[in-house]
Amino acid sequence: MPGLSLVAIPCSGKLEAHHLLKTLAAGAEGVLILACAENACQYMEGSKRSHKRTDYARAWLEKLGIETGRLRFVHLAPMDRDGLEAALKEFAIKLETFGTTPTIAQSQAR
Amino acid sequence: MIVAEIKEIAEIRRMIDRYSSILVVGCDSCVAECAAGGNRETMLLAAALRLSYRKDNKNPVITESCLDRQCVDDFIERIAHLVPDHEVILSLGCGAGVQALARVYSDKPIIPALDTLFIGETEMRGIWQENCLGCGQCKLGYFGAVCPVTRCSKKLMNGPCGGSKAGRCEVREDIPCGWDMIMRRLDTLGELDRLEEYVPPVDWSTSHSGGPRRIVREDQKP
Repeated sequence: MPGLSLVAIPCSGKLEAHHLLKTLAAGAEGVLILACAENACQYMEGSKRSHKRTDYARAWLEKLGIETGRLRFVHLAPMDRDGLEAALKEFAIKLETFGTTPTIAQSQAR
Repeated sequence: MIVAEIKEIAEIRRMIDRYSSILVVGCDSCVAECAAGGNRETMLLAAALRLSYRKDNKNPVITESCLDRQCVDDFIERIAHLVPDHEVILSLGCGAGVQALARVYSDKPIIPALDTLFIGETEMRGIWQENCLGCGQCKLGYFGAVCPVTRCSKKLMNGPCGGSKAGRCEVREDIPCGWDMIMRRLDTLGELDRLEEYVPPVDWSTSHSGGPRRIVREDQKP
């Protein structure tokens, strides 16, 4: 899929709110977080934690007046290719409705 | 530790909008433990500011850095190379950190990004409880290590008031009665007799009521 960057992390529980905001600030139009089902998390609480942290990052976006939908959290089984494709397409369509924001200046993108 | 909360972004923006280069400086000690001003929060706030300015089509230089401790000169000096290139420092330190930066970088405006709230403990991750007012005369030994000055809303030193009901304070229902905690703790320890000891009224001159406090120790000076 064009324009898509994949960032692999050991468990979604490794995700923190600042990762999400930094990614948007660096120019991404949105971030789709793919996490295992809460009851299937091999680290017990990873998916729960990433969900809460995504909500926290969304709350920041709301305060900033930026569409909270730019961060989407989806539970997806590890080998569910169809589910992945559907989630990506749906997210891409949603992001198009938001339009682009001004490109971030190089001086800010440190 | 010192417990603080991050200010609303609108208030921070009002204070820093006049500058075109901002150095965002965190403190990875107390305010990191309370998830307000550590390395993570420094990255979070810097990113939020970039997004906020980007939304307004503004383009200030924003650089982030985090000190291990913002209230000690040896650590503060570690951002010395960054300071000259920025018009302002936005500090995620507590009030002490902000003022220490201002003392060291005397020609630079320092803006607080946090509201410093209290001395407290991490009761559990996500819950921070105030439990010390720094009164300067610790009497926890008399009270089963529960502080009546802090945990009793009325700072009573000689037992609960009439507003203590079912272990709750009349000031707010979500506040546990400090004196209920003291009694239960001493009962558990089998040390209720501690309360028979006369504890004189608090001398508030050793608290902040006596003015800003300062300790000078010759043995510790360089």
